[in-house]
Amino acid sequence: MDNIDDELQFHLDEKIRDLMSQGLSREAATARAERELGDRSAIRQSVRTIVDTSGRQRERQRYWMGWREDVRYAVRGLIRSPQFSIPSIAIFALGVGLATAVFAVLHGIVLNPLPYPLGAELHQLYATNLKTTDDRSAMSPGDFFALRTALAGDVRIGGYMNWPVSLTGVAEPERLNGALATADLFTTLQVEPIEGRTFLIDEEQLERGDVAIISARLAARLGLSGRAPGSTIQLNGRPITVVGVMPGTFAFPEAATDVWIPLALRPADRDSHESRWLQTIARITPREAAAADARIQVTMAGLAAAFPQSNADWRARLVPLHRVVVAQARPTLIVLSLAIACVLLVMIVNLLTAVAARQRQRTAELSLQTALGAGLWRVTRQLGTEALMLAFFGGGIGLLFATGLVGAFRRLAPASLPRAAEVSLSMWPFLFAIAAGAIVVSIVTIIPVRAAHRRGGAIRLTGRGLAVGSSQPSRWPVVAQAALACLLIVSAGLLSQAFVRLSNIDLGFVPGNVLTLKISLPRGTPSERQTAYFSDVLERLRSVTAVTAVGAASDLPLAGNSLNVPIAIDGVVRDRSDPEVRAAFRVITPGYLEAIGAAVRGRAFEPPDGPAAEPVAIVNDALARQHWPDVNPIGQRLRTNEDQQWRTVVGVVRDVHHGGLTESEGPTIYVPHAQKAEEWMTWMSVAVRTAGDPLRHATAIRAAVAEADHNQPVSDVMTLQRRVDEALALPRLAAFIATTVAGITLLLAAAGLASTLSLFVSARTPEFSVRLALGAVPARLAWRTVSEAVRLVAAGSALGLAIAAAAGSVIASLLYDISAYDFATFAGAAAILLLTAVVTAIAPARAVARIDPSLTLRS
Amino acid sequence: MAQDTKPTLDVLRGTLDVLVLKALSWGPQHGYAVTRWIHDQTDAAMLIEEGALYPALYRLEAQELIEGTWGTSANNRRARFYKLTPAGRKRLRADADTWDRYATAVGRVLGAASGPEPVKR
Repeated sequence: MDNIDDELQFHLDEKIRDLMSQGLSREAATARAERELGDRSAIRQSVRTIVDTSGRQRERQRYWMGWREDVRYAVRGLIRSPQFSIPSIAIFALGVGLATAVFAVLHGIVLNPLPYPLGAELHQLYATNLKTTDDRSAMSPGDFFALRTALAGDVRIGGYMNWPVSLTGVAEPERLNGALATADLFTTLQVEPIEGRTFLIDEEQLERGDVAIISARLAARLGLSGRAPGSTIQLNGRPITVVGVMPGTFAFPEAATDVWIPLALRPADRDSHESRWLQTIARITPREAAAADARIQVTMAGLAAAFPQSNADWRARLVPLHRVVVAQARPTLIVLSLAIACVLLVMIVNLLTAVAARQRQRTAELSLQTALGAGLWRVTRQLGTEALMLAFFGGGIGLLFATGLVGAFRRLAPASLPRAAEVSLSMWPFLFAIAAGAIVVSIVTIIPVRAAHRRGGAIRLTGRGLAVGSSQPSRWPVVAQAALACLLIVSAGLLSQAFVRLSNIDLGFVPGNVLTLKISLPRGTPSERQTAYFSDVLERLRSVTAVTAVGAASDLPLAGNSLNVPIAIDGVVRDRSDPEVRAAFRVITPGYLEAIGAAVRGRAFEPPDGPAAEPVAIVNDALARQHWPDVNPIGQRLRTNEDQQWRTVVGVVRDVHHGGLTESEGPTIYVPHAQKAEEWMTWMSVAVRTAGDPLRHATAIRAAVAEADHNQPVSDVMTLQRRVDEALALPRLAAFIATTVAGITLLLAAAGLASTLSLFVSARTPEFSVRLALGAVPARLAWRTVSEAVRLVAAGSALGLAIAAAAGSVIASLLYDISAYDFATFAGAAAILLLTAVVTAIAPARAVARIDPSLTLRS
Repeated sequence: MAQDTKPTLDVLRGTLDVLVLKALSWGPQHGYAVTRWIHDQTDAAMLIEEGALYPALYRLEAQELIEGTWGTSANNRRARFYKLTPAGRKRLRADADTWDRYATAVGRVLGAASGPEPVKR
């Protein structure tokens, strides 16, 4: 500030004058005043510093004050016009909430990386059959170890298999979710134990294999935390040394796996290429992927040549683990992300309509501001602040809404949906909400401002002051919203109908009133003991009140197939080059088919079908159709390669769905439990049919099982109906989400139509008044309003149906028994929209009919 | 100022502000008049150095306690006049009150008739 010098000079002169009046000479007075003033530049410097800093502060303050004023102005504006702000905030909350919730699902299941270091390097290694569609088979131990040797040095592979065990030697024996693991499984996954170590390679030998690794969960439960390595626990009645503890986050192969046991096989089993049951995982860096795959193919080809009997048609392929984990849910998630896009679009279009309506009322105000010199930036800032306020309140409510939706999703998600538990409103969904909000805010700010700018010249001075040209409201938002709503209604309609049809599928059994539970006897239990134990259990269950039928099977319906074996049909000679004949293999007891309600032609197994009796089998319709299309299957003979015993078919059972609701059942062979050769198959699942709700008898049923052997744990106690419900959960969820989204969109579209129509009416009121004054019939004008609404919505619906038809292939993979182009659904969606249009148009049409020309024309 | 005939008191830090505000409470003044007034009021016991006064004035202005405008002095020269703002008036009241209590308290201690109670062992 240069003025400080003038100010100091004035000060000096005054002082000199004073001193002179006291009698000093001019020279003496000047000298003294100068001396007392001291260093002028120092004063100037400090004053300048003060002025500079305070100036910057003030500027900053003024800037924020400006924002604060904008915010205050915007909030006041929103409060003053609730007919604008409440619907807009609601739209924002619904849109952002819905989109964020669906994004959280997407993120948790698809985008979230696997919880292993460098998870992208992990691959599942599958055996694939060249002649059948089986391309995701487990490996045989022989193939696995051959591959491990061939890949050694570059690629780590680990083998595993779920292997439930009984924890014994404790007060209450319990069933643990266990897994067999090769020594290098843990190093392949690159997860370190929190205590002790993982397996050593020589623990894959039988005599060294009495060790186990346990989960942190189990260690805590057994009171072993911190001192687990070296302690002894009893598994299946055998003392086992704990060597390590895995962290609680380690969830492999299952979230609930609590104990890992080394895969220690007898030499004969270790070299077996026959049965494929060992799941394999590999860690391969992108750089070595091609080389590794080549080495795998060469090795598999070599095995095929060396073991033509078992390996002739078998190769292997690598699938990224990530893709395996999400493959099941992928189509659902694609549809869901399209739904997010639709919701956000509808929300933007709707907000634009609302903002445009408000703008129309405020054009005079905004134009006046512009005319008075408010720059484009100034106006944008003001409108942007208003949109931000909407986003602030709407987004806040929306996040609450999203929290509720995510909670509902986790409750509705089937247990089988991978990683559903990982879905939550964590950082990324939160950032998504903010980004989506920001994009919506910028769009609903920039488009109206540009429109206002373009209309800048349209302010006209009329007798009453500023007025706006009575241009018609834009029609495209209504058309766009109708199109999106129509698309979503079609999708929801298709998914809901698919769900209804899925729930009515004939599964080949009657799921109601059946309780199931699983019993796994210790490994190594001799066959006779197994037979004796299970007949004892079934006998005890039969005498429980209300039990009408009891039986047991190696695999329950909808629980997949444990075993798929090569079979031979008596009288059919197979060429070396023919594809192997295989069938699902199930061991069942007498009474089982009756218990699950599966109808049998011929006869079911009976108690006399024992080890000494004639070997018998039951086949399913699929097997009978495939191998004996023209003859009566009953009395025919077949055998499995495993036991080499010809069995006479005594009955044909309906195709009981095991693979899934929609998967058609392949050929299956049933063998009596008492005649099975597979001594290692020590588990059975028991099915108990009761009169009335089976859960009411669950306690009595469990007590009866416990009576047979108090040390024998049971697991998976649930109704058969629940298995069906679980299988239906994903389609139910998809139908539920699609219906919710479609319903909300329809509501938004109707709201958008209503506001456009009322704008339309108010814009044309002067014109209508003139017409009425000239003798037009009110009803005809009202009718024109309705027909305008119907025309716009019809155009939108046609567009929506076209998009739905074009996108048919996307949704087709989610449907069952209904075409993605189902005519009734398409027509129904259009009808719903047109009906909505008519209903929505009633109020504006009545407003038109009530116009009083004398009032309007006078004003 | 040590050359002055009477010994002068150094102005305590933070005291200057309240003195300036008080000086301006009778109406707008330029900087020299403020020094003069304080000098006269204290019977020449306090002399405000220019090196302290002007930074203080500008600081008070930045805080919007006073407001400076250019005007004409009694002898018809251009001078910068400072005026108390409402905020400044409020601050003056508060500070003067604090000073009063402080001065009374110090005065009481210095004029005390008896010393502290002897501490019993």
